[in-house]
Amino acid sequence: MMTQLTLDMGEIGRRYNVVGINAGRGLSEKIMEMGIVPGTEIKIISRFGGHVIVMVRGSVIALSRGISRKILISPLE
Amino acid sequence: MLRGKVKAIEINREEIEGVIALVGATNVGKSTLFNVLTRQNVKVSNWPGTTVSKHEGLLEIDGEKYLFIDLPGIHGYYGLTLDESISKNYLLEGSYDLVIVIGDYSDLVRSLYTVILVSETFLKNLIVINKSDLIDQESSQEFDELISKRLGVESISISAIKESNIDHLIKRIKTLIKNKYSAHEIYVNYGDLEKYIQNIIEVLSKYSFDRSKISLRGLAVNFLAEDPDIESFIAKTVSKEDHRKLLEIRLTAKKELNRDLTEIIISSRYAFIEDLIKRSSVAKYVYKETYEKTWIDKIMEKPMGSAILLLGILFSLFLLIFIINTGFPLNIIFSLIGLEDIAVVIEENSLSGLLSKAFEYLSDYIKSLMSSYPEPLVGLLTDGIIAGVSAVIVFIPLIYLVSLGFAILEDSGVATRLAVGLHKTFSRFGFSGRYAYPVLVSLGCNVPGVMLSRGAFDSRERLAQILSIPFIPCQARLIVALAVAQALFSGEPLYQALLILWIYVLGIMISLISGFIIRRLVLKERYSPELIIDLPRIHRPYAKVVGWISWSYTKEFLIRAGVIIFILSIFIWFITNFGPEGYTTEFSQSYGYIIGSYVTPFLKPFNINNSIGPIIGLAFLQGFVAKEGLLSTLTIITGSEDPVSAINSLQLTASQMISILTFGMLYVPCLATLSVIYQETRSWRWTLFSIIYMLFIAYIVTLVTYHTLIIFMR
Ligand SMILES: Nc1nc2c(ncn2[C@@H]2O[C@H](COP(=O)(O)OP(=O)(O)OP(=O)(O)O)[C@@H](O)[C@H]2O)c(=O)[nH]1
Repeated sequence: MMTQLTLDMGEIGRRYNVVGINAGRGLSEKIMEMGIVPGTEIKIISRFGGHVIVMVRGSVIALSRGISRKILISPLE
Repeated sequence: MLRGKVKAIEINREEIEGVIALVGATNVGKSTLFNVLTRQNVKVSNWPGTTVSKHEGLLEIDGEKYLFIDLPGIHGYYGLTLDESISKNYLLEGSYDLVIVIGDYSDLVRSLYTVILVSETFLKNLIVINKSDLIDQESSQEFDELISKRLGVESISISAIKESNIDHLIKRIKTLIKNKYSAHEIYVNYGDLEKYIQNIIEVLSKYSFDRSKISLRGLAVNFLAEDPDIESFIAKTVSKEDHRKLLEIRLTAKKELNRDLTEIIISSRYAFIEDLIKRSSVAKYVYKETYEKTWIDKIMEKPMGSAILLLGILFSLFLLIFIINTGFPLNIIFSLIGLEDIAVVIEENSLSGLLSKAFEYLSDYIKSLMSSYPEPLVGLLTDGIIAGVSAVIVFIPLIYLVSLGFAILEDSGVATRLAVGLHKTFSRFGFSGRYAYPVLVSLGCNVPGVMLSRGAFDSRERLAQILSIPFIPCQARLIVALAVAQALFSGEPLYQALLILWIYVLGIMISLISGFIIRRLVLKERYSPELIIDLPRIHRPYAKVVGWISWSYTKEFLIRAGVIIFILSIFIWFITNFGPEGYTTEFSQSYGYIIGSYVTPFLKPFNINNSIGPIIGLAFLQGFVAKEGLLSTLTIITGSEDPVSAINSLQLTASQMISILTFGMLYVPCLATLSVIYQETRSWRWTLFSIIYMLFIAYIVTLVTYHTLIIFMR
């Protein structure tokens, strides 16, 4: 079994794979439209003000705690 | 229609050669391009039935006129999609000749997602990729060619800031409109979904959609993605039976594939975009291994007190602006520590101090010049008209400087990071972190505060901000509070300070709670505001962009709010100088006094003597013009020497006094703020609502305050 955790638990500087989004329709659509789709590689670059800052497909995106808790990730490499 | 009457340009649709809509994700430089194309020859109105502003601008070239429409951007703020919906419905209605979909080299993958989303369905599209100055020319040319080749649609790379390739863009716009151009359909491969897409297209092709504008394939894909606007557009056109058929196809797809269809669609689009980019040399700019943290990122990462630090930065910036403008709060501080002389010097030499002085001279000069004319006429000219003009002009340096500071924060990308850093604090009350600017600025003056609501993430949060800002105690209200504190607790600085502190805590708390009230009860929004947003790159602000923003804020204030402030000032002059007997210099003979007496019944719960009802009423009426007017009116009608003795002469108990002060702090936006509320919402309904809402909240809070106080003060 792969270890799974939510995005807010991830370590700064590490890469992860998005494995699932555990949110209602509207929100999960918004998350996916920002490029965070299951199967995407995501890198956590920072954290501030209760937000997780990630790099996805060359963009830097800030997600509030409530949203990042709904994204399931598993560590790469 | 009244809306949009006050504007810089008149737009006559018949003279227009073509209508061009601009769309794009947030931050792609849409406003910059819009301004470059139209040279600020712009009219601002509202999208019908909403408080979302609509910008239209004219480009005149070789005697031909083109109308550009800036469609609301797509922001990363979850739960509210009104702005997006407006853009989609505009495109579905199809009353345009070309839609320019804008991408951006600084955030290529994400911005192309929006580009594909739009151009997949709307065929009269022209792709423009902005910020080509960030990459080499060869790569951008190659990328344009690649898009034309693989997508079959035209793409033009430009730099709106450096104005490169703009002439070519304009030429192409003209040609495409002349040729009634429609782009090819874009074929994103949706894999397993293709079968169902075909089935839907089959049903749709029986109907006469305008195929030169709308792609059936695009409609089909968005139908499968359950896009509500596209769904209702389709439902309006097809028969009930076919609609049922379409729903069945979607249901079958879900069952047979056993996957979230939206997920398939979104990942297919991203796969398509990334495949495209990887075939081109722009890839080296897109996929960077590391992200270089900027100074602001480093500050924000500090675990302790980042919010305080950020507020500190903002606070100092706006403080500086206020000191230059009005001397506030330096003047207050100096006069409180007994250095009245210095306070006066600071105040008189501030920008607005100098301006007021100029107007005073002017009005004195006219008075002396016209001494032989009838008194009412001279009064109207000097205390009505000139005072009205000065009420508008005095705001101008303030608004210009505040918007300049704001524009620098916005354009550099710092603003978005500050908003993220402060989001947690504000989201408890239903605001986003962007409410920090209006709050801080409003401590000085609510007028630019209301204007800064433009930084809100979307139009609904913006409305909540506009309605909540006027509760923030501004400088003028501080002056009133200081006078009351002195009258009430003379020689007891501790109590004075506590009263002032209470006024600030109360005002700010109510303003925050108001966010919650508006969001939950008025806008009926269920979600608490969560944030998912692109962080733009930090860069040195562009003088051009910053100049535009601050100038357009100032111009709009002058054109729209200025006129209202002016008219209302004259109106108030009239009701305080005329009464049933005609012209009068006695307050007690004026209409204002009569109107003031209507407050008497409302003073009952406070056991206030009926005879001073009209005095308080009139003072509040003057306070509506400008909060500091409360004091001068009180002083004049009670025939006192100074505000403090005027307050004392009312012989109110401490509880009554504090209650009246509380009411005075919260009761209505001042006239200038009200004018700006109208300017920003462009709706008399919301403007009126804001008055009633504030009166209501203020009255309740005052009642509670009074009844709590009399328990403790006995
Ligand atoms: N390098 C570069 N930056 C640009 C260019 N055009 C605009 N920008 C910057 O991009 C940022 C966003 O520009 P705006 O015009 O405000 O973008 P917008 O798409 O209207 O954004 P919203 O108003 O948030 O929807 C600003 O910081 C601009 O200075 C360009 O051609 N090159």
